[in-house]
Amino acid sequence: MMQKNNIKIVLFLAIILALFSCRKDFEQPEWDVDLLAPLVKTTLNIGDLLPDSVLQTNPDTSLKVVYETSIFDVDMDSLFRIPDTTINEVFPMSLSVLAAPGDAFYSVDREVTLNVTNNVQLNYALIESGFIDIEIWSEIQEQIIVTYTIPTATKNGDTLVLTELIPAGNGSQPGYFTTRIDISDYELNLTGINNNKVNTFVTRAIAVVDTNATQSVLVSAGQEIAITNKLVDVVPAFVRGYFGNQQFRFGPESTTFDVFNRITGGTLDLDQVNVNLTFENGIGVDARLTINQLEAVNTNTSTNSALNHTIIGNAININRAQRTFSIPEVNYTTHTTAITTANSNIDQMIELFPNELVYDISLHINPLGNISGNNDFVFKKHPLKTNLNVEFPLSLIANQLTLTDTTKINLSDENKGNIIDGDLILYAENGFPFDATISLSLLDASNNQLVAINPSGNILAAPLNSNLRATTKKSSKVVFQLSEQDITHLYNTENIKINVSFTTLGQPQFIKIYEGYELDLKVVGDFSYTVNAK
Amino acid sequence: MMRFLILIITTILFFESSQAQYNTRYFQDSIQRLSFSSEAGFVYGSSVMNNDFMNKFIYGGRIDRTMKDNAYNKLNTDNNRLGGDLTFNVNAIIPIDTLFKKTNMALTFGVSHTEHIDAVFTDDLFQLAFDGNKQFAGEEAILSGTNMNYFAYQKVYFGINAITQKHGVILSEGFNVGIIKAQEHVALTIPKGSLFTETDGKHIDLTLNYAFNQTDTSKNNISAFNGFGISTQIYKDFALKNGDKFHVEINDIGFIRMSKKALEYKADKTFHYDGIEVNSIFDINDSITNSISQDSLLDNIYTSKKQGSYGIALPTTINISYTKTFNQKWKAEVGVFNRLLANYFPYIYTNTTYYFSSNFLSQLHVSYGGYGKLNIGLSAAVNIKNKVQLYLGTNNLNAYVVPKSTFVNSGFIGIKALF
Repeated sequence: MMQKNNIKIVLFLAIILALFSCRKDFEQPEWDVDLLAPLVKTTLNIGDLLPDSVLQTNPDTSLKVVYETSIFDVDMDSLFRIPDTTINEVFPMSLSVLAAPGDAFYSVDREVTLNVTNNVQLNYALIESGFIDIEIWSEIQEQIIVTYTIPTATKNGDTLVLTELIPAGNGSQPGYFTTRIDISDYELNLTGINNNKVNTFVTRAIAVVDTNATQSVLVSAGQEIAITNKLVDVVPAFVRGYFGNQQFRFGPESTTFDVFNRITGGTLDLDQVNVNLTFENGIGVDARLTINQLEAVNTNTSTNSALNHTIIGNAININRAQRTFSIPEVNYTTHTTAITTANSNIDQMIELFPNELVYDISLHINPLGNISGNNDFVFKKHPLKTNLNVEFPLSLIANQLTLTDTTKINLSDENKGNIIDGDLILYAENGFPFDATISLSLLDASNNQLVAINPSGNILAAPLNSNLRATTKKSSKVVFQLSEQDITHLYNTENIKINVSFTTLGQPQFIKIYEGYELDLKVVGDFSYTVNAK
Repeated sequence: MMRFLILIITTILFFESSQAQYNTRYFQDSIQRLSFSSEAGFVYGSSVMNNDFMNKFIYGGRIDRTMKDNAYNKLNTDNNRLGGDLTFNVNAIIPIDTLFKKTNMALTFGVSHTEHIDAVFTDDLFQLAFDGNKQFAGEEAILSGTNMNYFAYQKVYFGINAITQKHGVILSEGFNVGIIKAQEHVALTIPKGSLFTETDGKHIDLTLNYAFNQTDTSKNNISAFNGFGISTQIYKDFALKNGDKFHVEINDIGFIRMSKKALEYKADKTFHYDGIEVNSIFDINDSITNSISQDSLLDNIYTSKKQGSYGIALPTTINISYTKTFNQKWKAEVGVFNRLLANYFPYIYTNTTYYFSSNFLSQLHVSYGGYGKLNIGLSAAVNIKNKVQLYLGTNNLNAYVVPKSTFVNSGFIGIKALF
């Protein structure tokens, strides 16, 4: 009876636990709410429209753009190169001798000529970096000590010397040794054994029988010691010699001009543009430069404008730099040409909003021959530089000057489907004398436009006083209405393109832009939102 | 902000809840018998949200404009309440012949699971949660006086029960002592608070004097051990000479001490929010969505945050009833029930029982108060061959019939096996 009761108890408890252990997780409720909240705020100044690095302030606090860019450099590599060179030297024994341990049985000096390009004749080089890979084969049937010297290579007064023990040959296989010598900071006299050559250095090899050898060794006539020198990655820091009467042509090539990267449309009329084209010669050669072409190119709009100025096609003579024998090592010779709105079409070139400059320049060095007496020189860090210095005050007339940027956007999965519709409201406090319009384009991952969202209203320009200066800000409200369809597109948007177009107030007067002009923006969201939308 | 408020309300109502029945002693034995029983019950209600609204909120579905407007019509600044309980227990009664020279005694053992939620909230908070802040543009939404409590725990209890007879009335008395394992606790108190939305939405000011306590959020399922406590229950029947009786019962005298992993957030300041600062209009990208999708503002709306143990008192319940037996067919009970520290409104009830036979009865329940208003309920109980007792009922039959006009829902079921 008791056992029967126990079974009933267990069954009862099992049923109870089974009934109550399964608790359901219910669906979430959903309902709509209307939200009104600030989302983002920002303050724009002129530094957000143009790179800070190009802006400078005038004494009257008006701003100017100063942009300096290097068009091209003529450096040591442009004049010549010392290619990797392999020199094989074979030293055969002319007589048979019985050499005792410690006996020198061979000694010879050799001249090695470098294959310097462009027929440049060097008599001196200070090596910045580079190596000599040495391989030595010996048919002598005893270990020998080879002392390899470059007597014309010195570093801090010490000659480059390498002394190594070379394994003995065994009759069928020569003894072999290899090593790499770092020749950084070595000075090379390149005038040969008798100081009457160019591009030539001297090597010396002395062979003695290993002093630890137990007996004399027979060095037979015809046995060889072979040495291979391989100059690898030799980069001089400084060279001297005669660089020849050479002509070079650089271009047509392009260089980046990135002042107007964000501007994608509209027109800009600048009051004044000044450009200084400066040549700075840090090389010890006379140079004659001719600018064949200088052109501003806007690759986005496929427009271009070539410089129209007397400098085009006319040679400019630039004297050689002078060595100082101190720091800095040279006094540059400079030549500057002023290109202004008055003597050229430079303003039209700048008003294209170029993103590239195309140049084509001819260079003639030593046009008068070897007048330096083989004392032309070049330091690696002192090239012949061509710089373009563009300067224009921000005194302008802008008409629909459009800045565009594309930025990634990714609505979180958590909120997908929650926003029903609503407005993005842009509140602006504008201190710039520009009217501005803003539009948005929602783009997919391939930057195809899903929808363009154009607002109602513009950002109004700050009023100008009698000095054409804005001293107070103007309030504006711009509303972007987002329909349900727009919101659907928004959820599929990967990138958003923002276009802002500026038009100066009071055209056709030139308006100066002053330091301190700001545009305060605040974006407020006014949305219908479904809580827990499925 | 919106999501935070929604979170509060959602948290408040997510759990279906209980403490439904106040008299389930349908069949009383005159002697102790070995028995095992199990009961489960729930109750949830609000003075604002009718059952139509609450059912959608709890079980899922769309809360539409009409439902919200109906709720708004019931808002009462000083007395917007909601609450609920979910209980489940398994109980054993083991007779013992004598104890302390008393006869007809039994030991009681059991385990139970309890979840409880209660809240009091302002009109503005409710409207803010269900319609957003736009309606408050240029105004303050008042949050002061909001309070919310939620806890879940499991309990092992034991006690002694005695059955006596006096004036022909079967009387029961006894006590239980329970050891509590806390599963989860969340409490929010906002003595003073408001949310101001600038007319154009250019800024929002959240003024808050609040305290928020929460046990370890990394583990809050039924196996979580987030504290311990003690609760006690005592009850006793008193016989009257005319055969009627009083029943007095006090439950949940006790406390829970939360573990050291619990967190407490506090603030007493105004938080000003006027948008996320970006460097440029061209950097807007996902700042907009982040400001919507993440409670980046709310992550920082506290001035002190500390981790450590704290204690809470259990919401003690008091139940006093008077039962009059008219004859073998009819019996009536009138009583009052109250729950302390639980934003509870005193609950007055009557139970009228009709015995179709000695083993089958039905009971009509009429009550007012608690987390809702007027309640009409019905239950039935059957005793099968004096071996198994079953009962099933609700104190809110009207919730199923006219959900748009009623504010509380409840249900309970029980089974008892006698050996």
